[in-house]
Amino acid sequence: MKKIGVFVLAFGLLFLSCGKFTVSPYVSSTPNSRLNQHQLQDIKSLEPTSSDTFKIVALSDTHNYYNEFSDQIDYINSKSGEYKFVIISGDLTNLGLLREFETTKKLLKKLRIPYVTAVGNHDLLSNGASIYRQMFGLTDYSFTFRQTKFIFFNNNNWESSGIVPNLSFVESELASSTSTNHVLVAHVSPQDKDRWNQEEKDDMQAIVDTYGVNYFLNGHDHNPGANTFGVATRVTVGASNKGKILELEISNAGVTHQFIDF
Amino acid sequence: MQHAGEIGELALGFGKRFNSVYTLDYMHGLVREETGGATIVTIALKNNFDIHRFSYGKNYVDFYGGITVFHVTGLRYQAARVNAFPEQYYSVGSIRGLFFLGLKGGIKESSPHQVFFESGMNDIWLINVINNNESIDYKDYVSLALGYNYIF
Repeated sequence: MKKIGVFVLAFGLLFLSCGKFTVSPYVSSTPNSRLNQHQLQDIKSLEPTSSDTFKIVALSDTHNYYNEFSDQIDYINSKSGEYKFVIISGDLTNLGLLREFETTKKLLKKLRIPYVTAVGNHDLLSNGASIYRQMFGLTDYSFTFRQTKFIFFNNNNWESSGIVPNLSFVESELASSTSTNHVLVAHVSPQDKDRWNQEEKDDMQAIVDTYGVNYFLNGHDHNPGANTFGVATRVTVGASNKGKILELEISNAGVTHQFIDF
Repeated sequence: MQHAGEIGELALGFGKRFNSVYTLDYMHGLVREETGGATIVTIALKNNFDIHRFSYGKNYVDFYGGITVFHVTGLRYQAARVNAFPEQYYSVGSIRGLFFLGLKGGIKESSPHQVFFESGMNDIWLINVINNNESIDYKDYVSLALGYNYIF
């Protein structure tokens, strides 16, 4: 009997020491860390080089595939100095829950180069929109790195309120750009047949064609692949469990891509 | 009455003991906006199974386990809500199951006052921990609860 009593005590102490008093998995209170803003500062402060060519990598749909996501991060870290930064094109979580975001954030901390994220449809479920805003920041933003302007925007139309995608934002960012290359990053493919009617596809393509967008990166579909969308190359980055990493090589001559097996 | 355990800052309810092993509790829980960032109302059914009683003179401690099935009210939590998305685009997001082990005890076996402590993990984290044991730590997902029962 004494042994059992010790077991019970040990059980209590073990779990008391490692758990948290979680009031709900659906809570959305988290510090305003606005990670993308900090990461953009890090990208801005990257040392200039004499070469106009640089490489970046893109990941997507990391949700639930934490082992594979961690392996992708290890691979990127092992290529020290080869890549400037990482783009993650959405779906960091499956149900938009705070603990899912925290798990992703914890894994992202391992990255030795900066990263920036787009918001995915799953990230906007439950209280995910509020958590994403607090943890990662704006869903529509842009930055210029060397000769290339990157424009991130929310195009998860079913899961968002208001006008989504905000094509006025995309167009004004492109119109005001003096960059040689333009890369659009959004979670859903602009050719998604479930979400967009022909008019909506045409509107997006007109912007891509008018401003000569080089690349459109999206996630959402888990299988990596590429095709054309107007004058742009559209690439589905692919989920973490597909065993590939998208590498983009960018120069004054344009943008090229390849999928790397890791 | 319960604090935490994923069903609210404070959850109140009543239960019925069906036999020497099984007790079912029906509870309503609330998280205030100040705490959770949004007001969260939870309805829970707690299935408790007594595993073993340890008696220490007049005192006792019961070791038990079970599953709490809880539903969070509000359309935003129901990822499969009607009309917003195509049918079966998302699985139901508002219903979770929390598997737990616990200890409950009182000063006297005849006393109506009983306190409990539980430790558990919900279905999402359980699946994630099993599928991602190399990259995530199960300890980050353990959820604790404290509570009080008044036995009529």
